[in-house]
Amino acid sequence: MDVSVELKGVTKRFDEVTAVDNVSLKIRRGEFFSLLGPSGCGKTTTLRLVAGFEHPSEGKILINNADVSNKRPYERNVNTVFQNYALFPHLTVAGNIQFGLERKRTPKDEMLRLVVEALDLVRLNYMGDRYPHQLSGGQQQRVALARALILRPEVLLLDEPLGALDLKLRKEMQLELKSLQEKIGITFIYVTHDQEEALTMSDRIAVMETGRLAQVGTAEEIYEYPKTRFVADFIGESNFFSGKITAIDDNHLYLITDGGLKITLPADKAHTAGQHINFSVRPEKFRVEPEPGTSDWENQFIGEIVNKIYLGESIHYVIALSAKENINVFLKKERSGPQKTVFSIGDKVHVSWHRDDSVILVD
Amino acid sequence: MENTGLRKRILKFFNRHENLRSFGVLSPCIFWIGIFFLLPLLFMATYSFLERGLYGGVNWLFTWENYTRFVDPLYLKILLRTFRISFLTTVILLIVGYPMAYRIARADKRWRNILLFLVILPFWTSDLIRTYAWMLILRDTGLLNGLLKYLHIIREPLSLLYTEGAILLGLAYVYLPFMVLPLYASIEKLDTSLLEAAEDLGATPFWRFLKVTVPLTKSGILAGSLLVFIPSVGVFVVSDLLGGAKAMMIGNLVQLQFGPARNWPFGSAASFILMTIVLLAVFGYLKFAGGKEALEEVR
Ligand SMILES: Nc1ncnc2c1ncn2[C@@H]1O[C@H](COP(=O)(O)OP(=O)(O)OP(=O)(O)O)[C@@H](O)[C@H]1O
Ligand SMILES: [Mg+2]
Repeated sequence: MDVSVELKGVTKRFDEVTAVDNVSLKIRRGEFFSLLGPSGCGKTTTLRLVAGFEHPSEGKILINNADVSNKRPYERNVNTVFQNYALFPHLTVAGNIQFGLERKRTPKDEMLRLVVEALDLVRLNYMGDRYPHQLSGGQQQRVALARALILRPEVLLLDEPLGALDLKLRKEMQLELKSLQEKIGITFIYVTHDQEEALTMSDRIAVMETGRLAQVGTAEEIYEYPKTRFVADFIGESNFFSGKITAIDDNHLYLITDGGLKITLPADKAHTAGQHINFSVRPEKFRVEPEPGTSDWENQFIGEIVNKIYLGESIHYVIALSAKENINVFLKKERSGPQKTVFSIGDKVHVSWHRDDSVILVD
Repeated sequence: MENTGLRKRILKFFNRHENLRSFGVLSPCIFWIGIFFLLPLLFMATYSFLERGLYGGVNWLFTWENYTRFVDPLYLKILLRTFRISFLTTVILLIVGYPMAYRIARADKRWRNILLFLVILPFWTSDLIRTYAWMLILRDTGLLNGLLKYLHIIREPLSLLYTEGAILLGLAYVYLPFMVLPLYASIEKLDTSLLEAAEDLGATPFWRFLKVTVPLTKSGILAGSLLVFIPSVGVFVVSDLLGGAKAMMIGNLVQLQFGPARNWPFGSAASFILMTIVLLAVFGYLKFAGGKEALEEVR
């Protein structure tokens, strides 16, 4: 594997706060890698460690297989797009973009060519003479991007670069950033607390929880097979159950939940009968029908609609399966027929889901 | 209701003439400046073209003589010395004050106020007393010579007092806060993420200082330089006590003319020449160092 950035047991402490706690990671060359997690979980600190603004209390950071743990930011072939862009207000757009080149004493005409090329790359042609305060938020964002990319870094670090933009522009920039990254093939480490952003853009995602890595994987792995309750809850929505295992065979695991539901799950060799475990089911995995019979999935129950929330493209129902267990279900709107999904509060419905849609959690 | 009619008309007038509006607000200020600044200036301008009276005062007869008299190696030397000393004071204070202001601005909150307080502390006593203190330190039998003798570094006292060096030292000491405070204000406002961005883009500390820190704290550098340079051009207490007759500055000349020499017209002319040169120098400096924006900012 062609490793671009590697963290080996990196810990960063500020006085009594441990911002990053024993993180080990390998990021591949050309990968779009996201750090995702709630506020204060250590995303920015991790990024700043790679950039060189902070130095690890323990552990090592390797860029291109060379230990850079004690190198200053200007000695690392890494550039950053800051959350507030940090554009130099006293320099024009072109001045900002060529800042790094001037330091390298790039010849004048070469520099001019590169600046024009960079402006073109971020679609800011003919804006070189403007000052940052004369640009919109989205344009400033692109200048910050061009300024960092013109140096052809080994890795580009982005700290919530779209955080200050409105929703529509953010969606546009997400696509633009992603296609740009694919075009130039530079490794991106992208910090965000927006799970949707991370899911749509990333090749791989690291979910962080209070300084630790909770799970690392592709968007699909993390969404479909969350390892912990924290990940299942943070990424998308989940219904959580806990129960006691009654039996295990080659393909199935049977348990009875705290509310008395008999559930079939995929087999899991790590567990034994009698154990108490947690599992989760995504709200869009349920089939809800007015009559029984059409579903041949293992888990079938009768529930009662206790709440209904209209979400626009879908309807969110809260359905009571037992005295103790309510589930959240998202359904596309179907007025009639066998797929009818428009119910009223108080309706009795048949709820079913496939055994593989139950995901066993480690905690 | 005449009153509301008048009010309406005034409001209407200012609505139509947007740019005159500020004069409405500024009028007390303009009045103040007129009485206490422009009027005396007008008096002086008039005096500088009149003949001196025998016992002070003036005779109301027009003459150029006060100005032509100034064109004399003796006076030009004083003028030159004045600008040399003021310029050097400004440069010394920039070099000393910048790191000081930087350190204070980057100290943590608790320390910052204490350090700022220490910078301002000398203001609590008068310039005069503080300058006398330097006399006690610098004179032939003073503390410094005493110490050097005691340590057997020198045998004969060094003549430190009544030199340009002594004036420089005194001025740098007295005007330090005028340099540090504006510098502090601009450095404190400096966004640290810009410094990080510079470093991230490959700038070494020196390059970063040159390309980011200095340009972004330019307003502080300009304000501090002017606040030091302008008053030190007109200084007379410090130069009188530490420079004496050997290193006279133009402030002393003016004071001499208005005081013992009783030549008010010549004193006025000297003041006007000084003022004109300072104005030209300041505008030249701002133009050179800051372009239009800085001029705007100072205004
Ligand atoms: N310079 C510092 N000094 C002391 N504590 C710090 C410092 N920087 C970060 N921390 C602490 O480290 C923890 C992680 O901070 P970090 O900025 O990395 O979080 P984050 O995941 O980027 O959060 P957000 O999404 O809000 O930006 C927080 O508890 C924070 O208070
Ligand atoms: Mg952050």
